[in-house]
Amino acid sequence: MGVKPTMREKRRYLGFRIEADGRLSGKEAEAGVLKGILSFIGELGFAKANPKLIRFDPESGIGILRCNVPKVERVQGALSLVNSIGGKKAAIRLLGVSGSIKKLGKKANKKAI
Amino acid sequence: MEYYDLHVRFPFEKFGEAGFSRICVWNRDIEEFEDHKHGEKLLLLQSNDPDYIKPRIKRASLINDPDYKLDMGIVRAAAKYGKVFEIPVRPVLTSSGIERAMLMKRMSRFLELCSKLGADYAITSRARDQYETKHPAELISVGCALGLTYDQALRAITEVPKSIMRTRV
Repeated sequence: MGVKPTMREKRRYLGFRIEADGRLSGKEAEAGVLKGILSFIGELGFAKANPKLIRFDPESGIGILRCNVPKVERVQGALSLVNSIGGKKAAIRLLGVSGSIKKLGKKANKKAI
Repeated sequence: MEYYDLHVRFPFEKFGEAGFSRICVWNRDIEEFEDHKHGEKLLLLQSNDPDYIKPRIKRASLINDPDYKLDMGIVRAAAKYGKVFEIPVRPVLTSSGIERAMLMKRMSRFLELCSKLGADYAITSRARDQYETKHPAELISVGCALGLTYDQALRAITEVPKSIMRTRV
């Protein structure tokens, strides 16, 4: 038996695009994003935010990150302050935040990614 | 809504795509900023010496102390004459570890003092290349990380820069 819906962890999905000085693999991107969050919000904040890279497309540099609702702003701030990934100069552009992956896709498409 | 980035250090041609209405590019030769589109100029007063800043506040459009010293005299004078403090994101972006933490703490305390004494502040990117440019939403996120509320951070990239452009030197 699972938990009651009210006790469930509330999540948000963040769409982002990585602009880097070269091609990044999925593993490099995941390591860079999570390292950036860890260095900015610390170990305790990271544990509470529970971030997870859901998907990442190395061709377009577009990815989706999942985290907990109360820490969304901190995670957004952390992503904004990433300046290098895998030794390459990089910037993470936020495309949108949503409660479901489906709606996030619609938002991101509106921004003409 | 019109978003502004008052301090960019390279010819950022695609600022419209990044979501900004207007940007100001720093001009190394004349030590002034120039509005990218309209040719208007702003004057930046930057020093970590309060005695240098105090007598020159009236002339400046933007004031920046890289050390973010808590000097009530300067903040009060800025509030009195309607001058604006610049809060650049680049120093936070390029630092890491303890250095970044200490810098953010100083910025946060300084913003707290500005809010208390009624002085205005503008969040700028100070980007030197395209990777350092930040979208308006990202600047707001950084502002929130520095202890501002969403509305305060939004005002720091919309209304405050707009007022500077209106009352430029």
